[in-house]
Amino acid sequence: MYRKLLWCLLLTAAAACSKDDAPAKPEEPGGDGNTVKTGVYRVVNLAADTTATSGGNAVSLYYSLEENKVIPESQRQTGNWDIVFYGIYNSSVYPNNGAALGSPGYGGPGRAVISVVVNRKFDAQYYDTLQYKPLQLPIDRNLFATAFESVKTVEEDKFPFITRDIGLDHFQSGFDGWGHYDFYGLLFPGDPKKSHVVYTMPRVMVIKTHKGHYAKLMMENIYKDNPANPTRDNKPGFITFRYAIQMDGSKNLDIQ
Amino acid sequence: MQLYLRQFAAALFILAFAACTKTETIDPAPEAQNRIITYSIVNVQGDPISGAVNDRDSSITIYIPFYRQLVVLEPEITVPEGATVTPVSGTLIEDLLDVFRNGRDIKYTVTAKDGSKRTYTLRIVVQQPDLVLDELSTATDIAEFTIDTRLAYDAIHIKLTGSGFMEENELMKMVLVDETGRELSPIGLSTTNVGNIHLIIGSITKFTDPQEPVLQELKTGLYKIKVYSYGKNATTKFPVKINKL
Amino acid sequence: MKPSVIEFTAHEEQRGSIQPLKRQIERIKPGVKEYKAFGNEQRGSIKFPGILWVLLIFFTACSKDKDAAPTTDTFSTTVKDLEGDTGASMGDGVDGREKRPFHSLLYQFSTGRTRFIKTKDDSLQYLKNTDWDIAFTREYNSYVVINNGTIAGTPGFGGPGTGRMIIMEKPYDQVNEAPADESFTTNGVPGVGWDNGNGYGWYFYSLNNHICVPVKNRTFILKTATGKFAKLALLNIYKGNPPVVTDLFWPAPYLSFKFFVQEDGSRNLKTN
Repeated sequence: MYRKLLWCLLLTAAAACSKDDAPAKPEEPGGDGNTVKTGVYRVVNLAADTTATSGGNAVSLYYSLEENKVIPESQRQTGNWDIVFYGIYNSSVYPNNGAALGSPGYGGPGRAVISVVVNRKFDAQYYDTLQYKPLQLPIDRNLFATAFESVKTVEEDKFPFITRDIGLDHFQSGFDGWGHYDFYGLLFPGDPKKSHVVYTMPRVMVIKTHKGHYAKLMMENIYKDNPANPTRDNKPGFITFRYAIQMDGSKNLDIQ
Repeated sequence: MQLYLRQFAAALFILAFAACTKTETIDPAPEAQNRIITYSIVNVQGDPISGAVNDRDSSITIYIPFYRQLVVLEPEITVPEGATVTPVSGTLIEDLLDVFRNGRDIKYTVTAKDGSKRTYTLRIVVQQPDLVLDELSTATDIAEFTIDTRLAYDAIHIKLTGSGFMEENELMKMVLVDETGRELSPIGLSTTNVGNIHLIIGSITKFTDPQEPVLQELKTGLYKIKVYSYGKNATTKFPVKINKL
Repeated sequence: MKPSVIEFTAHEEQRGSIQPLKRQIERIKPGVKEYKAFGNEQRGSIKFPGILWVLLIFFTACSKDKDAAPTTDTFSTTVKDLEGDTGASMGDGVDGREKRPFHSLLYQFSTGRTRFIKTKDDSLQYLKNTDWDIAFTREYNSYVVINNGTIAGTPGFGGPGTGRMIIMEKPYDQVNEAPADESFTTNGVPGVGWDNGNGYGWYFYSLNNHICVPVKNRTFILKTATGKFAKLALLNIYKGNPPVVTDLFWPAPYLSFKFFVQEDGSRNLKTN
């Protein structure tokens, strides 16, 4: 009986004491706090994560816009990355969203979302807006800079965020994308080296990172060394892109 | 009268006991300063998965449901003020499939303010239905497959019914086990039936060079089929015969 | 077998609680994630190599899901082996085929009438009407689109068609009713083709084993060119709708599909 009393006291004491003995705050999970400042960043020739262990899978490129660095695939179910260049030749840009079935981030905590800004009037300078293909290639590089700068804010009503990918423009789908896949080489008839080539278009994607910051991103090239006029001889899987991220929590994307 | 007296005596006794006895307060044993207070898995949608911390045997048990399809875990650990834990809170447990298949020693050492240490061992318990493989062969009737590498293109398809397969091929692995018990390289899984938890189809293909690893390792002989499905695995009781021409 | 709800009680020595498991009903969503570069694949191009499209191993699961009851559908029409543009190919050097874009193939549900659009004249003459409901277009006639006059980039653009399509993750026999009009507007797609994993398509294509695999248990709810409600299941692109293909040059595209049109104009799509 005495022992029972002792246990009772212990438990009561434990219950009482746990209030005073507050546990230490958990140390910050994940990143080492190396987030970038608000600004514009350019990533050139982003290649596969060479430490990947599963050789059979696609070479997916997981990227943290917050820290401007590659994240290993082993961390795909964490909040450490914001976008991934995924799928056949990395043509799908998925945001890190753990609730999206079919997304590489599925099952994880990710809350990122993505959208693509489409301005048909601007597009008409280089693009047939009814047939959804470029009028001529290569597309004037000045248009890329103009398009990027012209996105100054997040227009969520006009371009609602989605959790699926932004991919090849109107390729077997009705969706606007970031790049045109010239399957037959129709834009360069008679030149066999120009079929099955992906040309990036001056389209800007807007991303809300996992941590909730807004960024704009534009693909420049998927071929090594960013050739102006790619052909089948160029090596894909080396992504060049630029992005601007706003770290003050606002939707202001007018960043120099 | 006796009863009344008895009750009165009892009441007096109780009062006396309560009033006159010196109450000795026994201090509870001080809480260990080198303990883990909470352990949760936070890289999930919605509520974190709470682990059960057991101070008696210094263990932490977490229950991972298969349908979350987790392949990495991010633990958040709280310890008493002034204490530290190694590995630190947030250190990822990567490649969960490898943990399930090959085991891994995962321990956490808490160092209290006063320097005393305690080490906890992590137990991961996967909650998933049983993995059951329907046999392709019987004791007397061995199923046979042939792949002819002299052809430009040939393939064999190993179609296993059963239950407990995963909806995502990435969470599974199918291998041949030779007569010495050695596992060959994994067999490619068909995407035809992705989503079907009662069927899995593996294909060994001869096509272009270089040939895939399992085909290079393959010799004519008897093989059992082993399937790894998330946290479980199962092997067919009877082998199949594979002829490699 | 679905996970059951399991409850754990904390013992007195164990601090922290084990939450009761919530049963999660998941849409069965196949995700194709393997795109291994295959052997000596050419550098520098994204391609669906012509030869490899033709040489296929096509493998279906058992034709009957263990749990599915046999259907008594006398309403639906099943079309088998509708020949697509078998004169075209996507790569060089395929016997009897030309490397050129595939001619679109139009189909009308009520009559079963088909038409190829081969020339510019054909486009001008035969597209802007309501005589067709779906078209099998683009590579291997695999991009299936509806007839809608307002959707640029589709064959019916500029015409009177009011077709629409939404994707439903349900087996054909379990689709009993078309949803409200808002669904067709907010969730509508002009057509479906290759599903790259994001759920918007009717087949997967994996570079790992070069299989063109129809997505199971997915149905397309349509509005026909004249606005009637219909449901459609896209079954196969290979001749004979085979369970196994071993011949290197298995013929394609030969489209097999199943559909039902509710002629009375209502939303009722029940067929069994």
